[in-house]
Amino acid sequence: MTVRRSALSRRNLLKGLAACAAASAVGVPTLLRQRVARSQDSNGKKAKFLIVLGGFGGASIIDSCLAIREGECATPQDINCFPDSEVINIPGSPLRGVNISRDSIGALPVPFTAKQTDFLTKHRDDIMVVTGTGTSVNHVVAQKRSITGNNAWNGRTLQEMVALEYGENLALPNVNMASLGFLEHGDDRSLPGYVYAEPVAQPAIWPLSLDGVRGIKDAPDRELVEMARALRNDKLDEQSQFYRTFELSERLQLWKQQRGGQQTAIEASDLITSLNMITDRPGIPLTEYGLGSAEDAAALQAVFPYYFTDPLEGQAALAYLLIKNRVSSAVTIAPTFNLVIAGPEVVNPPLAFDYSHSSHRAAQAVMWKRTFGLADRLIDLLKSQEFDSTTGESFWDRTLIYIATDFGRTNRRVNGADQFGTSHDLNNGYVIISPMVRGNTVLGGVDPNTGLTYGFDPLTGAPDVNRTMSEGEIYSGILQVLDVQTTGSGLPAMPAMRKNG
Amino acid sequence: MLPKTGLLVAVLVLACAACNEYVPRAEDDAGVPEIDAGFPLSKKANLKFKGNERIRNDFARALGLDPKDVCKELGAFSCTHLVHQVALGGVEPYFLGLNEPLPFTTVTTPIATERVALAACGNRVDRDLADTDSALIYVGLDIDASGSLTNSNDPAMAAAVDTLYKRALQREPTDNEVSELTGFYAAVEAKSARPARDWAVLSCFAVMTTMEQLFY
Repeated sequence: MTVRRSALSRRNLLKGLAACAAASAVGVPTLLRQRVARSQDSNGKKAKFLIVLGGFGGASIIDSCLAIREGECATPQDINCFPDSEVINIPGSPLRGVNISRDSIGALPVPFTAKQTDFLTKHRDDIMVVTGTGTSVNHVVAQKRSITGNNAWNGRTLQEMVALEYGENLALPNVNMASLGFLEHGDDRSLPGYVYAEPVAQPAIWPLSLDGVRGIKDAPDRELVEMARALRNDKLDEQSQFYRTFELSERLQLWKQQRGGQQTAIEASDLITSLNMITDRPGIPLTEYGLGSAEDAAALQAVFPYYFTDPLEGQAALAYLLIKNRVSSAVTIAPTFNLVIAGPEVVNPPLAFDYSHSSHRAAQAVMWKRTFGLADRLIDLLKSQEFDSTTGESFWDRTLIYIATDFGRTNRRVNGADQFGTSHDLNNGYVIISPMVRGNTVLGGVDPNTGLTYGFDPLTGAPDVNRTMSEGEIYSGILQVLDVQTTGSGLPAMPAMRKNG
Repeated sequence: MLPKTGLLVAVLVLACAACNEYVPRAEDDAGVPEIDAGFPLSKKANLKFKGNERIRNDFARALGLDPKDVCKELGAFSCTHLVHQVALGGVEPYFLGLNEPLPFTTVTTPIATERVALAACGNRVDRDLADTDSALIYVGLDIDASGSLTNSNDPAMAAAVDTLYKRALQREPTDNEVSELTGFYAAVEAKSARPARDWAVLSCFAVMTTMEQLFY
């Protein structure tokens, strides 16, 4: 059979239609709009970094910086408040912390001591507490809303917006090691592909997926592999009936981009080495496989000794390497619902903060200790690395840690019980840590008689007992602290959250 | 009246459909080159990446390997079901709560795929070259002491390509594909210290990472 060839063949027509669709950006994933990684800052703007640290399961602000003393509450038997001696004011600060010890974590017969004041005292000048009231008590939904501001800007996540602003020239602008709602993409698929998160399940060994050749025993030399790639890409694929039939597939076009310039750039950056926190050890014979470790891998292991068994420590170590090596502008880490025992301690009770259903006080204390402990180590590491030799800025000077969380907890207890269970509650607050925020500050406050937080004036920061803060306002404030362009977004101005207003 | 109108419309529709059926006539084809009509372009092009389970199982079946031997990072960690599980489109419900595969491949997906292919192909080739009697794909390659083929046009290469395509892609290779892959040996020989093995590994690698192999 023969057919006539014309200038407007069916194939060309379909290709043309596909091009039109791409141009209109409707129905075509803009993942295709990828770019090649480079090392300099994006858009001429000096880089800033966002770390989202998930308060997984409901980190209650009144079990931390806004804790209430029994002596301050009219009905302490009914409200979640602490013996006066366990709530400590941070000197020279409106912040307060909870220092407690107990013989068990609820039903877990493991004693613990949790002392928040060390962290709060050390970093008080960079700590800002903002109150907030969420819109969902479903874990997954609420987690996602904590990073999209309840769809404040077309459903875009904070991480995506930071990656958009600062990540264009980075190898992996947005890396997400968290789970459930904290791992979800935003809802706006019209952004450039590089802003969407690269998920990481196993942070300690994930760098192995950053080079197609290194670390494979007896693999042919890279030059030969490159030749085989070229043969495959330019000849076998291009000429195959399969490709010629399905060449309009968005997935195939994306694949071609990913295995092309992007892969080359990642391999050329030697990220398989610079992000590798593992060193040679029995069972992990890196040298035998021709692999190396990050230059500060040994030091990192000292800071995060359980990086291989405690996923959150592994995530934090990788987060540091991603930022320090300017690979990412947004990194998300979070504990999970799984029990974690690190050394002699239960560091993550089952269900994380949500273990509060069984034993509120102990769960909150152990998990806040875990959260602050991770943040403390990350801050110290980032402070130790120079970002700009001309200004003397460290990486920490340009980083913001947002302790995002699902929601708060109900604030009732019965007969002044020390061990009690709580449910999910919309009313809560967030801890945000950065030299760029209005530090040593509580924006809003808490009514000691009800345990409910109230809001603040977005412009001045003055407390306002007649309002609460929305997820969108907090989202907006974080973006504005990070100098992300929000023109046309309709987001409210939140100068109260910025260091210099 | 109405039934008649309906009948008329039906007749016209059928007539138009018949008109659209192209009937070649000698005078129409004058001066028009013949082209292969065997590649209908799919309008929907609705393809999916195979994902970690299918990739491991397909590689294992095509290369005659036990699934657990397809690829292990550092000789210990499963490539497809631990280290690169999510990048390869797998789910991870227990730790990440990732109950559905990612909607698109990520930047690390092609890299992870290549690692799996390189490891699996090396495994297959080493077995084939170690015991020619039980070789599965690279059968009868005559390799000299320097690691080169004694005959750079060894017909065993074409036979290996043929077997590889049949096992991996469930079809015969085209003449062009055979020619490209066997011709690749000369390029490898010019750069490699052990060209026969490297050619075998890389020809396998190239086929196992084609889009035809990885998408369905």
